[in-house]
Amino acid sequence: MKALCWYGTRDVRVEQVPDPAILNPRDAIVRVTSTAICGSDLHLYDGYIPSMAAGDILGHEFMGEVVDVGSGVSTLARGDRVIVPFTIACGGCEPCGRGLWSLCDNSNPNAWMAEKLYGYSGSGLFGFSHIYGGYAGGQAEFVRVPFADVGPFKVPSTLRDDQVLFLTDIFPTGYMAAENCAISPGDVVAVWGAGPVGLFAMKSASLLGASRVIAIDRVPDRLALARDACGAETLNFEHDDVLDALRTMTSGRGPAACIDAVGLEAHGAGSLGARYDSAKAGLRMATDRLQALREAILACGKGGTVSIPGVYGGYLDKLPMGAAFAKGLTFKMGQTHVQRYLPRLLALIEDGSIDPSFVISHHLSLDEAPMAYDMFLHKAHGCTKVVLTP
Amino acid sequence: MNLADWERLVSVVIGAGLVAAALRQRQTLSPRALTGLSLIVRGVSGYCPISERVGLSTRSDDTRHVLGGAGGVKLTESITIGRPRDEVFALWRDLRDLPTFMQGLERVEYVEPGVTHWVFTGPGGTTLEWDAEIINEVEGSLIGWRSLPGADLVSAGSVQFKDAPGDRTAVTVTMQYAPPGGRLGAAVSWMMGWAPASVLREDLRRLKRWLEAGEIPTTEGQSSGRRSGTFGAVQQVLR
Repeated sequence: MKALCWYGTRDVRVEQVPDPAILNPRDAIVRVTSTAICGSDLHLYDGYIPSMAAGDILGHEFMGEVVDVGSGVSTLARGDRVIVPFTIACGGCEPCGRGLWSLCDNSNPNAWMAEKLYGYSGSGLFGFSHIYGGYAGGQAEFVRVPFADVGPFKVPSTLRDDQVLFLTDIFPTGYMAAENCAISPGDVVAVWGAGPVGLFAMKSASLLGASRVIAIDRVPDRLALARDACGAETLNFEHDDVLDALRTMTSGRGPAACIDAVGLEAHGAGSLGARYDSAKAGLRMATDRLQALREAILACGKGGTVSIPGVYGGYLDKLPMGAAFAKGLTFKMGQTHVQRYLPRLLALIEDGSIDPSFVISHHLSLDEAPMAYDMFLHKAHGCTKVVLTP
Repeated sequence: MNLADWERLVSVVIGAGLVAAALRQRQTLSPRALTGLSLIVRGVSGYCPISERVGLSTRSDDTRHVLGGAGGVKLTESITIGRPRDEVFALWRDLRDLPTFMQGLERVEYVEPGVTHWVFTGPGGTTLEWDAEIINEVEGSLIGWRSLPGADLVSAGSVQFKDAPGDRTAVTVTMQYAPPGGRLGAAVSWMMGWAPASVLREDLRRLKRWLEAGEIPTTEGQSSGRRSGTFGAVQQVLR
């Protein structure tokens, strides 16, 4: 089969690889009909995520048709159309029992690796390095899906792939980020990063009761989409003084919640902090750049929440902990517990409250994936989200 | 038997010397003769009641000698498993299921009630065998064992089972073993990628996964592009 394989920084290639097989009784094989490139895939592309091996198949946002099931799967049948959460969960451990699917005890075969870095291991993920299990991902024609009686979620034929594909990751991610803000009606929520996750966070924040949503980014196309599709007010951090503007826009209170939908490859416009981050990260002396997070902490109103769906991997330098303490902030973060949100988010799609396909800017074939990664990285040609068809 | 071969030999030799000296002086029942005689008996039988009383043994495969004090490698690992305590205890107590989740353990067989025979493949493919007995047992909460004389791998330890919140079980393994080849052997094994503490932790993780998820997650045999050998080697070193 064809698959998109990683070979190093900025080196991904579409290759012929063996078809996947059932390896465990609870596996299923899915023929991929649509798959997307995620902003966090760019961290892999840019070489920021350790424990990648040459030949690893990427991709964690995928959906399609079940073509084979292992002997231990009774919830799926051949022909079922499913979206597959990017977090792999066993369903039998205590975190899974509490709905903390991305913290599953049992789905990471390389748990020892994550333990060395983090103390304890969360769940395995598709296509996201060996620390997270090294599972082959879904930017391919077929995927082996472990614990297929827990993850895959059936979707109705009345909805197109474009409308449901993002249930795999970015829609629940944005929704969980907004839910973590514990929004009270009337709250103002600020979102750093107007990429797809940020956009879903903005939409979700409005659905959950925010009176105003403010989007912060530097790419004009993204800010325009935030304004047009999400009704967000916008700030461009390359021109505007974000902290000042947020103070004014909230009449001196500051946002009730700040969402960092940027993560470890934050840019920041030439501020001293941003330049410092870039230098250290470029030299690999620090692992993460945190200009967005710094600003979110400094901007947040007293007693507010900083909600972090943006991926961080290692250690941060110069985090304004004093500001966070002085204002009594709450931090909520983590990988998305996708399985928890699927029924309610599907219902929002079905009743027309949201059409997730609004984030898509490009439809390409899997063969064009290497070019698509480059385009997505540079936000070229108005690229916001690329959906690939194998 | 609680005397090492060398000590038995020394005992016989000194005993014979004392008896010979006594006989030369025609004192067949003198204290010297009797001491010599008891030393000979001690050496031939390999058993010394005084050593037994005091708790000493020089046998190289006696757990008290090999594992006491600073001897032996000590390991402790714990894990919480989402199954009731009685169920986890019963699985472990049977012993014959242990190879399902313990790396390197080929089989465990009962040779007589209370005594099991263990076959283990160690680093470098060497096969180690030993008999073990349960020396302490509290139904549902504790199993204590030690290897018996003649063991290729001398070990002793215990497994404790305690209730954990949410009707779960906390399993703690505390053990000591004498690595074949002593501390140098242990260092060589570690360099070859065999680190017993992490092996034990992975064994317990496999048990948890088998009981909670019904299978062990794996990516062996999955699809991928061409691989380089570098990462595989790095993985070994990190272990």
